Amino acid sequence: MKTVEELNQLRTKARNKMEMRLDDGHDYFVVVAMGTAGIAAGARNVLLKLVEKVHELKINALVTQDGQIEVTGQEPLVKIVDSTGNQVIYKKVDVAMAEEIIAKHLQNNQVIEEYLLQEGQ
Amino acid sequence: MEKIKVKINNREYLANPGQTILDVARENNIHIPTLCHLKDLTGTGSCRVCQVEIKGMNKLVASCVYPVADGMEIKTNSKKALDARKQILELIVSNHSKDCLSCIRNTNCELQRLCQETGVREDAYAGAKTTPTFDDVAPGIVRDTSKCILCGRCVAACQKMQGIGILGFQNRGFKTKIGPVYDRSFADVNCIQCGQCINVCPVGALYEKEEIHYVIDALDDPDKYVVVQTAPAVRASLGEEFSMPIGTRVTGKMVSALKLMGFDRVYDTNFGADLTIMEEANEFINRVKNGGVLPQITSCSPGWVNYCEMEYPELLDNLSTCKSPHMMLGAMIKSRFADINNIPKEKIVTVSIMPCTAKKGEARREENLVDGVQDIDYVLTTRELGKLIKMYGIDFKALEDEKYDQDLFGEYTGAAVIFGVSGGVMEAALRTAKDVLEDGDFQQLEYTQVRGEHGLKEASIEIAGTVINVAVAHSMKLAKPLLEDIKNGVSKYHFIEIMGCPGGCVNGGGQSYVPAQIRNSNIDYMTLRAKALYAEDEAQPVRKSHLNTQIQALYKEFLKEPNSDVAHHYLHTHYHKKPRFK
Amino acid sequence: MERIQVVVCAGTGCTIGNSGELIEKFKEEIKHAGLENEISVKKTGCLGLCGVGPNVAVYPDNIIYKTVSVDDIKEIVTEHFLKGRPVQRKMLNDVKDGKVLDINHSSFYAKQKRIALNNCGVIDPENIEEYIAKDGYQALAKVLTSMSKQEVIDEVLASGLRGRGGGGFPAGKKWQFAHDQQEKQKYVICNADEGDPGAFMDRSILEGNPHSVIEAMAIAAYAIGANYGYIYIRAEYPIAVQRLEVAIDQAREHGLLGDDIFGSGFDFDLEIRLGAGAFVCGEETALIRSIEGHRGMPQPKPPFPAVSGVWGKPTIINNVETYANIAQIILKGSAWFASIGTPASTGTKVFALGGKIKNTGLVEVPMGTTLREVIYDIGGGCPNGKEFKAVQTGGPSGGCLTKEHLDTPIGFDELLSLGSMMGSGGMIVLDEDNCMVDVARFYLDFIVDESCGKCTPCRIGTKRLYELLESITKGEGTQETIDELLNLSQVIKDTSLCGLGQTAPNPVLSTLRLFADEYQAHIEDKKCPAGVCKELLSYIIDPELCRKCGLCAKQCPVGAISGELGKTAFVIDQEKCIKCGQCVKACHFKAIERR
Repeated sequence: MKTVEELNQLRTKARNKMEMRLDDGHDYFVVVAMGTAGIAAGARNVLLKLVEKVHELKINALVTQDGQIEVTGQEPLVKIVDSTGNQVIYKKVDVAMAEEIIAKHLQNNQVIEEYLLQEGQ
Repeated sequence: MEKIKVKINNREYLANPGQTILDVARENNIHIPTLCHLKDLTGTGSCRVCQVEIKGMNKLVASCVYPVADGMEIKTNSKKALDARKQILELIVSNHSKDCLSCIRNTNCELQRLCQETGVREDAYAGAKTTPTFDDVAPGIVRDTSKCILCGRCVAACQKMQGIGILGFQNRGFKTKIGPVYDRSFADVNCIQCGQCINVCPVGALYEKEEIHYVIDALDDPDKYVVVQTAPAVRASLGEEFSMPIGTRVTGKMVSALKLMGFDRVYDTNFGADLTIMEEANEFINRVKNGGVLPQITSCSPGWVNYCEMEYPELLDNLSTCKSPHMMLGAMIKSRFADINNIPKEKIVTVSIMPCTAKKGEARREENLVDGVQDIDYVLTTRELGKLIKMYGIDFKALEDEKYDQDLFGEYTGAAVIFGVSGGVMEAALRTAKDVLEDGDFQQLEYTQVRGEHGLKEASIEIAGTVINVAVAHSMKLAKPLLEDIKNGVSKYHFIEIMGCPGGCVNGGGQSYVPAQIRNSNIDYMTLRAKALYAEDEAQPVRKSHLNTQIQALYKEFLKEPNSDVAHHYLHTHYHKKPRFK
Repeated sequence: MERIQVVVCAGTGCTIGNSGELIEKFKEEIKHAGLENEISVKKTGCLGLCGVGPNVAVYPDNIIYKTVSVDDIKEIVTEHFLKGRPVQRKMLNDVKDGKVLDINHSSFYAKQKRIALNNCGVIDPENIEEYIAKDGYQALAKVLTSMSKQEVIDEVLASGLRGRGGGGFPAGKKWQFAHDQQEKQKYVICNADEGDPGAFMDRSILEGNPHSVIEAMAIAAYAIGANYGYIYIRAEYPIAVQRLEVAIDQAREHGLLGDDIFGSGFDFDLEIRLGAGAFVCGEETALIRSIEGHRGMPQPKPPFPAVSGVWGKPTIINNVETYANIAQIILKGSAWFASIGTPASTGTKVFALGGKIKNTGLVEVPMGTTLREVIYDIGGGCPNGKEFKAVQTGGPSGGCLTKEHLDTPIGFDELLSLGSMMGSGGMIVLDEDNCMVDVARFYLDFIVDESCGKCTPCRIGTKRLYELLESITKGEGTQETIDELLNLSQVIKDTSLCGLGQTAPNPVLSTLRLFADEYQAHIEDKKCPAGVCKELLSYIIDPELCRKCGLCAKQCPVGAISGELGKTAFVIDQEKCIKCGQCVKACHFKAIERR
């Protein structure tokens, strides 16, 4: 490495590989409910798709998992929390919906009402 | 350099920046006691005796290393400093052998003097003692660590002065000890027995292996014929044993004392020195004529010979095969003298008084035996002679001068006397070589280029049309570069004098103690002693070895000619490579 | 695509707890669960709660697992990584209302501020890229491309950074002295000898974030005009040495060490030198002598190393932790650093918390944090319901502080004024079962062993001081002994050549001052109130309580207990008793008392 430029390039590349250990702020927290119920309903694929897409599209979101958000029979559940603390929970999320959530909610800050978990469910 | 102002004990003095507090104090006759400090040798402030107080600092500082600064206010005798010094000494004493009364340095010990000076009155810190080591295996030097105060002077002498370094600090803390590697004996390592460590030791931790009792026994034995000889350097130092000024020439009194003690014959090693010149100069001429190994190096310093055998065995052929003067004289005493006086040689006891500790080992070398008999039976150092004289109750200073015994070996030349100084052997050899090779009697016989007690000396002398390059080294530190050159085949010299001790024999390991106070002053004790010998040289009627008539007679009647087989049998020796560690 | 990164502490403490095996087992179980593309496992540096190691951190969940053993891993992988249910019983995180709380808000971490330790527990120390990801070598780049030497020194001066090795000397001032020397050849040295018993701050920084030291040394070299450095590290730190070797190799490969760094024309390289088991070689002049190949004995100052150091050239020597702060000072600015801590003691300090404390380990707090906060809030206080007695700071050179000092804000000058010192950061907590006379004796024993032997007051004086203390612990002390202790301590302080000797009496003086009554008990009553000094203890069987079962006699290794089974009460022969206490353990009826 002979220049500062190269150092900065290496920095960017390396940061990419260890994002989850860096303490930059995030615009969104995306939490996928796992647990046996969640996994049975296909939550893992949703999780993996979300991770892949967030990384690919360089969205400033942290994708993580949780044991169980709520017992509802509406799995797979995905909770999105924004930087102010507001949160919504999407229900019965599949891979396609996941992509939509990313495009609309994460990239355009548009909550998709019809996918939300309703009160009482 | 701009001077700065400092205050010592409320008085103002001028100083140079970079000087230590001790330097400035000394210059102005203010006495601060020191122990480990030896100018240019030690100097890392370890003993903490020289502590002084500086205004504005709550810790004391070691004046031997602390530099002065403009405006510094120093108190050398505040209660704090005085108390600290006393307590430091009390601590040293608490880990020191308490048998002063039977110690070799009793009344002549720097620790005793300091305790008295600082008012030590009680055994303040009694406690455990470091496990001592006592080593008296080597023939010349004894080490007793129960008396060692870890001043490090001996380490510095061996490492810095000699460039050898067989003494070092080992272990740490309370268990620290000074000695050869792994606390082994001097006899196990490359110690050349030069005794410089003894010379700088302030206490009784290092001293020569005494042979006084053997001599007393011999003197007492009516069956024995005891012949004593004195090295040239002794006469320049013996007076100091009796508080005479450094460099007082006491030849006559020395002879008188020896006669009073009952030695059957009192000779001068100088005769042996003249003999050595005869043999060595001719050896040199032979080497030059017949393509022998050059440069030739003198061999009268056993310290240097030990070094050569241990560190440069590849150069053993450069060493002259001549024995040293006292050995040659001893050999003649036990052969020629014995025959002429009809005394069986087994009844003759030869004693040498030497400025040297290495000679104690030299006398016992197997290679030096002649028909299984030692040329010299006992070697006493100058210090031992001093003790012997006192033991016999002789008032040295009041003695009249007497002459050496004149028969057979009584004559000596000025060339012999100067053997005791660095450059002396070289000068003596040159005086004879010039005369012999150019077949003349040259009056211009002082070769001042090879004189001097400090530093390497070199000269190029033209003799019989050839330029001879000579060098004079003293201490192994100065010798080493010359030896490396010879080893690498690039030496430009033909003849080299090497002495084991810095300054030559006048500063030998057996000479009178020179306390630190004098070593740290501007007094050049080596030159003062050397002056005495040069004075004796000038006072001699004959100043060239080959003109010594008794030497001429000896060859005519016994030895035939220099380097003859008879001469070789008695007066020459050989050498062996000695292993690095045993 | 990775979504979880697991880092396993590979510091010395956790390595002894087999963290090496843990990494292998994690990888195995992750593969078994088919998660190998989603989860990676790496080494990392010290997370801080060393007492409950081996510790494992899981990101991005910010969960730390404690005391992880090979048997726990399958559960962690299945329950946490696969099913998203962290294994709560192994977690350090607090749980409130079923929710796992951020570890950074736990009582252990809440009051800490990790600056020197910022990458420890986050990055893999054997991968330079991870250091670079965390802004590694940005400071060096900034310095070499946009700052003059004086500007660098001014920043360090303005930051107020004081030496973290114990001296507390302003680092910027030291650099200025060396910078101002006309001599062309200069050197920088890192003092990684860390000899204080119980101190492992430097070790952890070198094991967990070695590049921070390398980068800082390069910056320092630039500032003073040096091109070569030495890291003098004690040989007892093999893992740290190995991490440094890897780091240095990687730095060289990346052109961050060597010629013309960042094309600036500045050359810098360094080498590691190992110590050989001498505490005194942590003293800077002894360290220098050691590097030069001599016996490690301290030399008189002046001249100071900044003027004449290694090989006689101007040299700066700084402690590991001091260096660990430099890069961030350069990047975030001196004002940032100076805003943390107190005006006279800026920044943070890493402490190695040990002794009678619940949370043993490494903590880093802003200066000004009180002792109480460190010991109780972060440290959890003394375990087993024992009462706090004192805290020893500064190792063998420091002193003790008691209950009345607990609200002291931590700072260089504050601790000095109380008769102790910051030292390198060792903080040993003592409780009611510690005998303060014995504590002083322990430190002095260490000093006696480690004294280099050069100067009289330390070589002989400390030995005598030890003998005096020992006589007190054996019940042979008198009032005169105390006077002698005070007197000799003062001599040693005033006349020793180096810091080791000058500070050796501190534990003695400190305990004499604060625990005079305990000394008196040893001298007057011939008793050790804490029950430590064996010679002053007696084990007595209460004949009323003795059931004559003989169990104690069976356990006694020297046959000091005698009695008739079932008939007479057993009795301990005080002459034979070696005070081992086995009888007390054997007795079911609490009939044996230690007095």
